[in-house]
Amino acid sequence: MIPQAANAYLDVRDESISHILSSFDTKSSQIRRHAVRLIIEAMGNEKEREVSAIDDLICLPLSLWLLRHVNEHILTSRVINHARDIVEDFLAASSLAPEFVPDYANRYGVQIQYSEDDEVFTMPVGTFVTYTSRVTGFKYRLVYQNVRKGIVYTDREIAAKVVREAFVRHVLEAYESIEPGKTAIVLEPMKNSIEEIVDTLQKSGITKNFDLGEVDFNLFPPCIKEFISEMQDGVNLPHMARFTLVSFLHKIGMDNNAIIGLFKTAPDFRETLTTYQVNHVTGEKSSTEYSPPKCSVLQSNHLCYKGDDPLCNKEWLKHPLRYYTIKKKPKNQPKRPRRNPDE
Amino acid sequence: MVNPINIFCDSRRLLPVDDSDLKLKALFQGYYRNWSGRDVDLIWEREIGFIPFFGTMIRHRAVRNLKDLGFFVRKNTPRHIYYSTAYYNSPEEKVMKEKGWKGAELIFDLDADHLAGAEKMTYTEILAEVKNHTQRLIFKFLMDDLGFQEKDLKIFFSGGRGYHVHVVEDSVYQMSSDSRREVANYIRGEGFSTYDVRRSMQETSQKLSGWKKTIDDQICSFYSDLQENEEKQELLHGLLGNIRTMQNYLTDLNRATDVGGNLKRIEVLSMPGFNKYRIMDKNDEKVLNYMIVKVKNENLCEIDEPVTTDIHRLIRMPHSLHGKSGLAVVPIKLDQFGKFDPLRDAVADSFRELELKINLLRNYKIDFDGESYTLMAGEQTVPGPIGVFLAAGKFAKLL
Repeated sequence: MIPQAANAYLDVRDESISHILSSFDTKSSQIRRHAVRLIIEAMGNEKEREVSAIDDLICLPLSLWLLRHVNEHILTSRVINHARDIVEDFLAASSLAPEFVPDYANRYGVQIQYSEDDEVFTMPVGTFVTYTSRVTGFKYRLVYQNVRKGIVYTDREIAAKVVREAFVRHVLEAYESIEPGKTAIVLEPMKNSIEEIVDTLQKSGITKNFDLGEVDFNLFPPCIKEFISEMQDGVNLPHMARFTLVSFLHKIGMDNNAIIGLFKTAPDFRETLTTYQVNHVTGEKSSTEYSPPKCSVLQSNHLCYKGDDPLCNKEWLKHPLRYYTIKKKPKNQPKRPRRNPDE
Repeated sequence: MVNPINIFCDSRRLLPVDDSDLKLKALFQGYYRNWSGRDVDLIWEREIGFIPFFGTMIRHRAVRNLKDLGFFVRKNTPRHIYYSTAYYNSPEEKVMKEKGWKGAELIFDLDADHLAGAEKMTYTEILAEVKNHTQRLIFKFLMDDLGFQEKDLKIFFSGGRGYHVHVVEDSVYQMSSDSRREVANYIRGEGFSTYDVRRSMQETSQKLSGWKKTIDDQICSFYSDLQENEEKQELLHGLLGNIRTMQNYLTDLNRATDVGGNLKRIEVLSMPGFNKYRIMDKNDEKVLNYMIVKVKNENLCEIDEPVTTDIHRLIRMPHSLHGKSGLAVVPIKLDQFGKFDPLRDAVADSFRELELKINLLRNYKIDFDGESYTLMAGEQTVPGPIGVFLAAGKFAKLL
């Protein structure tokens, strides 16, 4: 059964929020509680979360107001990612009959059909490339799809991912539509909860700046800079981006503990898992010391951010490490003022 | 031999105005005298850019309508003129952000620059090869696979060494650069790895189509008569490295599998569908790898990817002249594409009425506008179209 609340996840109108805040009924009270819990839980890494079911997302509009008020980008990203994952898990779970997935997709403006006879999901190529172009992994590349006459024939996992991405776009639009100037007045009854959120945020350390030690960030290629800045913004980096980042930083001489420290701001950070993975990629706990992928591999996985960078655009530049090596050469470093011999 | 074109282009000094170029400009002026803009919609939302005969690129111009475009062209007599594939609120703004991007056509540029071995081909051969790629782009990729219809496509000869295909359909205008890259990668067959192809085939339970079907067909065809076909065994020998491995491999093809009631390996490998990818071993993967490369090379379409992914691109104005060939950027109807001959159908009529005196800088041979020319270096009089073509391409000076 599709939750009736699906469209309510995006209702961020002032009057709807004010109604939730001024009502004494049990439902409104639970929404207020869940709105705060959704934010607090997105800052932690606990497996047991109170807000984890699709129906609970009826609290999302109020959470978005609270986030707009707190105005901390990394926190907003984490909460939206958390909500996004709830939607995806719900759509991918076998407990939901597959024929309901298109219904849900349509609510977010996505045209998906399900054929019971073939047990296959279909969508126009335009829909597929619109929503998967920022999702990494070979499964989401158009070349790997069954494509006929403008239609992509695919499975439930991909259909769920497409709806997830459409959901995120709608949530971001809803968030942007909230006027920052109004939040303090509308959220006055939530003053204590806002303090609790800010307090938890400060204690969580997720807004801490990165410490790159001896390594010079300015010499990094645009892709590595982008991965680091996305992590700083609380974006969950795709697997290949993480792999590239770890192997790159290791190859240029960064210590494993420092690399692990970088990932602490990732929304899904788990220290033991990250330590294991970093040690594996860097050859500490495995027989192979991996190198970052070539530029062409990053490009075909939509992880190249070269833009107009003159060095990246040289035809011979084929590897992120080469970029760093060239930039590190003394002649390419900004010149220090010469010391006067009389000094 | 020193290439006279390079000497001409390589000078860093400010070159004096070339007399031949002045004459060429006058010929272009003649062409544009009764010219009117056509085959561009919403011209007032497009940025216009042009390269004059003497000077560098001028951008961020805008016109109110197609009539104004005609005045603009007559006033400036461009060597090359372009318009944006994007629609803007304020196309004349110089800063991209302030133009107010509203959407863009989806563009494919097919050019000799991306063809393997183009440097050894003649101009005519290049045009023929690029035409093959364009045909594949239109009929296989854009229509068969991506489902666009004739009404959604505008096809132009670029006036130079290739073709431009514009997709003008509602679903493409708002596509991001990343989404366009996804389409470009599909058309170029970019991003395949043997490991991922195998995984992807194993995980699918649907009827194969697109690139995966082409790869699967190729593999089935390879195994269908491998045990009798010496040519294929020769290829297999090369892939597996030595004759003994190959013989063992051939023997092993008769081994029973757990697929479909103990079918033999050779039966599974030559049967269309995903089962074969579940039983593949390392040697099978070598064959798979070879077939992926082969399928890609035989079926890909060499488009210029940065053009497709650029949502602010300027592209040649329909019916304008290409400054390095004097040929026109002409639209081509889909049903006429097969018959289209750029060296006849893109020649401007106004040049056909002329005879031009030229000094040919080197011997030159070409079939052009229905004539076979074998021209010797030196002064001579030639029909207008070939005279303009040679002068624009810097193979000759107009006298």
